[in-house]
Amino acid sequence: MSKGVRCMRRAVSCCWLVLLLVSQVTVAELTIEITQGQDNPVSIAVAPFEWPGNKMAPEDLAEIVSEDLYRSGQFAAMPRQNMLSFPHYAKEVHFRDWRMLGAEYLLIGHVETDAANKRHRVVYELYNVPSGKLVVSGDFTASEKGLRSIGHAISDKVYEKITGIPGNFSTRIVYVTENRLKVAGKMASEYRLEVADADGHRARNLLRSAEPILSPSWSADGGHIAYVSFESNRPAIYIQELRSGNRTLISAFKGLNGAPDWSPDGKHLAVVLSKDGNPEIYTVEIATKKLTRITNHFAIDTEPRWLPDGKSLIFTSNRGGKPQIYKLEIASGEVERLTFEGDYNARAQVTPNGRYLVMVHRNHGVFHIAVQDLKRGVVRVLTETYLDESPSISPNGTMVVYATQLGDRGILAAVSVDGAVKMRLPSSKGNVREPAWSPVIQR
Amino acid sequence: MQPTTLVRFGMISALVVVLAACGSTGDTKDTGSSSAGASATGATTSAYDSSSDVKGSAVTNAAADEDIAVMAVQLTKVYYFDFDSAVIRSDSTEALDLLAKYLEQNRARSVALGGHADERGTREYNMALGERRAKAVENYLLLQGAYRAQLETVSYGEEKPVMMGHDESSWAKNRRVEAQIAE
Repeated sequence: MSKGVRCMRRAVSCCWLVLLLVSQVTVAELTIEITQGQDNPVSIAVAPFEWPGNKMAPEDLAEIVSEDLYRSGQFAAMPRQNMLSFPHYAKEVHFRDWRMLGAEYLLIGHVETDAANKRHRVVYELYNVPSGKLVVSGDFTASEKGLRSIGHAISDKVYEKITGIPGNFSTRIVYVTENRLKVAGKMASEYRLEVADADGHRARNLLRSAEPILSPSWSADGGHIAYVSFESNRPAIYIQELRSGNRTLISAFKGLNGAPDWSPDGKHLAVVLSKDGNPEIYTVEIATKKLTRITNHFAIDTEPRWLPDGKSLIFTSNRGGKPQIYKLEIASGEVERLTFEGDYNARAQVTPNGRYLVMVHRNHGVFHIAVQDLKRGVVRVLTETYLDESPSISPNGTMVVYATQLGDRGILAAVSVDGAVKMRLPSSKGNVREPAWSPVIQR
Repeated sequence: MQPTTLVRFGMISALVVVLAACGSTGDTKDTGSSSAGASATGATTSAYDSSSDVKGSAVTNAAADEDIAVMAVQLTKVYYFDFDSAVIRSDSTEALDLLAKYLEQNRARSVALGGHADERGTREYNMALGERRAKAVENYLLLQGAYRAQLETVSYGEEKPVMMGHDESSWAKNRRVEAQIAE
């Protein structure tokens, strides 16, 4: 490469850096399409919420809740045109009508607006239709901007009351997009790190670069994201605060700087460095940047992932000849192989209850997402899509979002850990990859 | 663990040496000298055109520089690998021997070795695999006489494919190490 080209490249990367954190650029809008739902979904009717005054409601809360529940694959939401009435208060509910329509649950609600303070209080009530009994009621208050979040919070309550599992509708997903653009007559890639609500709405750009971005990982409190960026033409690990956009460089050693994974206590990152000649797993104490090497093997050791106890990690290694998943206890250094089925198992994560291992698994030469029951050892392939990778489990442990290929485009897709629900999250443009599901973000 | 590492490294080194021996045949030399010859003609033309009054020594230097530049252009700079493998294939050794010779004769030049993988499998594993491939090429060149200071490796994993298809013919082209010669 000539000096001129190098300088130009450097100048171009500098330009990108200046453009970091610019959020008015158009972001990829993700939509969710259910391709397979549960066999016997719960039937729920969400009546339109009452909005005070004669202005149009800025957000259709009932629609947000309805869509959330439908997209979980576990609910059938009644279309509005099938409803015989739109009750907002208990006294307006005629259970006979809702029984006739076959609804098992009915959600009603109304909004009280404090005009002086521009605050909206949303009150909701969930009824069991056959018994006519109140299941749960409550209220949330926010500004107009926060109404969507209230919708998701109500979805979480409804989902948890009916299924017994906390809802994940208030969570977010971070992912990487790649767009191929013509720059000065030549095709070039533009990479972005974006974050969106779990339903694909409110997408926001966190970083733009002319060089690859990969392996985003959430901090336990959902406030920061660690990732790998090639913006200097070499890999480096950064931490970025979501609220401010402030970045901290964590590691830029010679060789690999990859696969960051945030520890459950939020104080460490597990990373992969090859500064000592070989890809090994290290932990970095974030406050001091102190490194501790925790693997020592001539094979490839990569993709560390903390277990919920924070005392052990799982990782991918080809020390047995092919990539397989191993577990490592940090204090003792004891290593145990976990996967034996298939000749390629990688990038694994354990469900929050510690029972299942979700991973990329090669079966008959095709890469799919598979789940292994750690108690019984049984492996089950969950997906039928093509070139599946980067699985990330939802905080309640029910869903897995992953990257796959649809035609010529990289898209995100999701599947339930039991394999019953499948969906696609196609983007309005470009390739989308490297999804990471946020933890539950405290409101 | 330590002895195993050494034994393995020893075996790999031995293998590399054997492969290298196979590579450095008469053919290699022929290619090398003929390309140098061809380049001399091309280089002198441009040097004389621009500076017919320049002293002899300067012309020679310019010609030699052009020589090297043309030789650098003519070197094969992409070496392909098998799936999930960082073993240098026999079809790359001849080209690598030439590159090593070039580096031996041009100690001021350095080479950036970019390791790549195909899109199958996981991104971070592929990042490690790309590094393995770049390092395999680096080690080969070191054994053939290049200096460590002349070599630099970086892995791009599966992030920078040259072929966009999702089939074996594209994958085969994407599993590679690219050498970029710099001053």
